Amino acid sequence: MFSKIKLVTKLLCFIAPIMIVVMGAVFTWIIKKEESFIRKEITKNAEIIARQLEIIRAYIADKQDLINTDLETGNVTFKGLNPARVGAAISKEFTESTNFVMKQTSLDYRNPDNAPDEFEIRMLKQFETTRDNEPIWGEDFDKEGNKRIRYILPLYIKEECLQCHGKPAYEGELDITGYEKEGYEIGELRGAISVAAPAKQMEAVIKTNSLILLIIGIVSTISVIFLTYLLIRKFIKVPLSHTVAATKAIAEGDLTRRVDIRSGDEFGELAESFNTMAQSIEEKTRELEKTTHNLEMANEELRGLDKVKDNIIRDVSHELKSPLAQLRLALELWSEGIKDGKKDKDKEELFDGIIKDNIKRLNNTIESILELTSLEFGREDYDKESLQLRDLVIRVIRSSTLLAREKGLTIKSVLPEKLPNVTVDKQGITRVVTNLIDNAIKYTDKGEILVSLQQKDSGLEFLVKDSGIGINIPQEHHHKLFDRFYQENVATPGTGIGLSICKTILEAHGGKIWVESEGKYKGSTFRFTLPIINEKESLVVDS
Amino acid sequence: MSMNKKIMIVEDEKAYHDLYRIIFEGKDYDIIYAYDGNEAMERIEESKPDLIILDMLLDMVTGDTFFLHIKGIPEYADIPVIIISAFSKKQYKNLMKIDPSLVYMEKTYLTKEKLLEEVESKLLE
Repeated sequence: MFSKIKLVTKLLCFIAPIMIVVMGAVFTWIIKKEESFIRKEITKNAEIIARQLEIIRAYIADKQDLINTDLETGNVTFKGLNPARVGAAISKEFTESTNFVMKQTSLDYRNPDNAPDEFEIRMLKQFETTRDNEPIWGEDFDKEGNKRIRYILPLYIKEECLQCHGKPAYEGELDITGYEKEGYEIGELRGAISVAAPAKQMEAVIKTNSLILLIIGIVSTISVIFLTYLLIRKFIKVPLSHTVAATKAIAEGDLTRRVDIRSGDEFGELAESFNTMAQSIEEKTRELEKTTHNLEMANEELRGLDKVKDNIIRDVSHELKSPLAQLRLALELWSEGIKDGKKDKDKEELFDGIIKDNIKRLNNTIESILELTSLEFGREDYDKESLQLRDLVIRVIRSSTLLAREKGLTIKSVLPEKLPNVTVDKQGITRVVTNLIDNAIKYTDKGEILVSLQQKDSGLEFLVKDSGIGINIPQEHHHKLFDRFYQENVATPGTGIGLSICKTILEAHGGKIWVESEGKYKGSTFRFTLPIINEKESLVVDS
Repeated sequence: MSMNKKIMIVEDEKAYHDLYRIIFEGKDYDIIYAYDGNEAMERIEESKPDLIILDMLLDMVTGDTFFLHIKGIPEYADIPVIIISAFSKKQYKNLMKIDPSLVYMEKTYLTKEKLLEEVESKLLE
C-alpha cells in the first residue's frame, strides 16, 4: 500500500510529523521558560515586599520603647504602633493600592483579619515543624477559582517579641496592646508574612505569546513543508520523472529518446549514464535489426537459390532428356522400317538428320555443363596477357560475318583506334565476344547488328546491339538471363548456358556484363566492361 | 468430307512433327499440325479435332496455358488431351486435378506402340 505512494508524498509523510513534533517541542519549551521567568519575577517582587515588611516590623519592634515613652514625662503609654499594627496597616495599604494581597497571619491569631487560609495553614504548620527561615512559594486558587502565586515568609519569636508574646508573669497577664500574652519562647514560630500575586496577568501574557508562537510555528511548519516539496520537486521529482518518461519511451520502442538533465549532481550523472546506456541500446538494436534484415535477405536468397536449383535441375534434365527422347523414337521407327524390309530413302534421311542433330545437341549440352562447372570451380586457368581488345573484336566479327550474311544481316562496327590495352585471357574473352555476337545473329531475322568499343571511367566497354526479338521479361529480371540454363526463348535452339559462361569469365577478369532491352521485338543491347590496368600495375599483378 | 478422326499435334520441334507423321502413317486419322499455342487456337477453331497431342514447352503460349484455355471453353472442354513432354509428370499434377481424364506421356519413354494404344483408347471413349 505505502509502496504505491509517490516519492514526494512519502517524503512529506516523513518530514511533516517530524516538523510538527520539533515545532511543538520548541513551542512548549519557550512557553515553559517564559512562564518560569515571569513566575520568578513575581516571586522576587513578593519577596522584596515581604522582606520590607519584615524589616519595618523589626524596626518598629526595636523602637517600641522610644515610641511608647513620653520624652517629657518619661511615662510609657502604648501609642498603637507595634509591629503587628504597623504591618497590618502597611499590608492593607499595599493590598488596596496594588494587585498584590499582603497580610500577616498566624495559626494563633489575635485579629480575625489575620486568620490563615488553607495554603497558609499548611505552610505555617510546616514552618512550625522545620523552624526553617527560608520563605516558601507556591500556587493555589482564590475563591473565584483564579490562580495565584503564593509567597510566605516565616516570623519566629525574637528577644524583642517576648514583652508582648512571652510567658505571662501571672495567669491572664495582658501585654501593652491589651491582649493576653501567649507564652512563646525565643525561636518559636509566631506567624508569617503572606503575599499572594494573581497569575492572571502572567497567564494572559503567556496566552498571547503562545498564540504568536503557535502562528509562527504553523506558518514556519507549512513553509518548511512547502519549501521541501518545491525542492524535492525541482531536484528530485522533475529529473526523476524525465528519467522515468525516457525509460518508458525506450521500452515502448523510441530508441532515440534521451534524458535532458545537465546538472552536476547525482541526477546529472544518472542522466549521463542513462543516455550512454540508451545510445548503446540504440546502436545494438540497430545492429540487431541490420543483422536480422541481412539474415532475412540471406534466407530469401537461399530460398531463391533453392528455387533456382530446382529450375536448373528441371531445365538440365529437359535439355538432356529432350534430344534423347527424339533419338530413341527415331531409332525405334527406323529399326521398325528395317525389320519390315521397306526401304524408304526419304525416311532414312529424315532419321539420319534427327539422330545427328540430337547427338550434336546432347554433345553441346554436356560440354557446356562441364565447361561451366570447371569455370565455377576455378579449374579454368586464365592465361592473361596485355592486348588490344579492338584486334580481338575485329577477328571475331570477321569469323561471324558468314553466318550473318546467310541470314541477310549486316554487322556494323565502331571501333576507335588507340584504345588502352586490357590484360585478359585471350581465349576466354574471344569466347565471350563470339557468344554475344552469335547470339545477336541467332535472335535477329533482319536489319543490322552494331558492335562498338568505348573507353569509360569503369574501363573499356564492349557493346553489341541488335534489332532482334528483344527481351520479354521486366528490367529487374534481366539478370536472370545470365543464370545457368535460363532460356527466355525456349523455342530457339541453345543450351541456355552461354551467357552464364560469359558472366563467369568476365567476373574472373574484374569485369561485369548486363543487358538492356525495351521489350519484345525491340532488340537488345548487351554490354560488358573490362578494367584497364596500366603496364606497371599489370607487371605487379603478373609477378 | 472425310469421316476420319482428327488429331491435332501441338509441338514446337519440327523433328517431332516428322516422327509423329511416320507413326500415324497408314492409320485413318487426319493430322493437324500446330507449332505453338497461338497456332493451335487457330487450328482448333477451323478443324474441331477429336484429340489433341500437346507438348508443354512451347514458344509464346505454352502447353499448360493452352490446356487451361480450352478447358475454359465449353465447346472444346470435352476434347481429350494427351500431354507428351520431356518434363516429368509431377510438374503437371495440377493439370490432372482439372481434368482427371488427362493422359500424360513422358517423351523419354515414348514408343510408337504406346502412343497408338493411348490414341485409340482415347478416341473410342
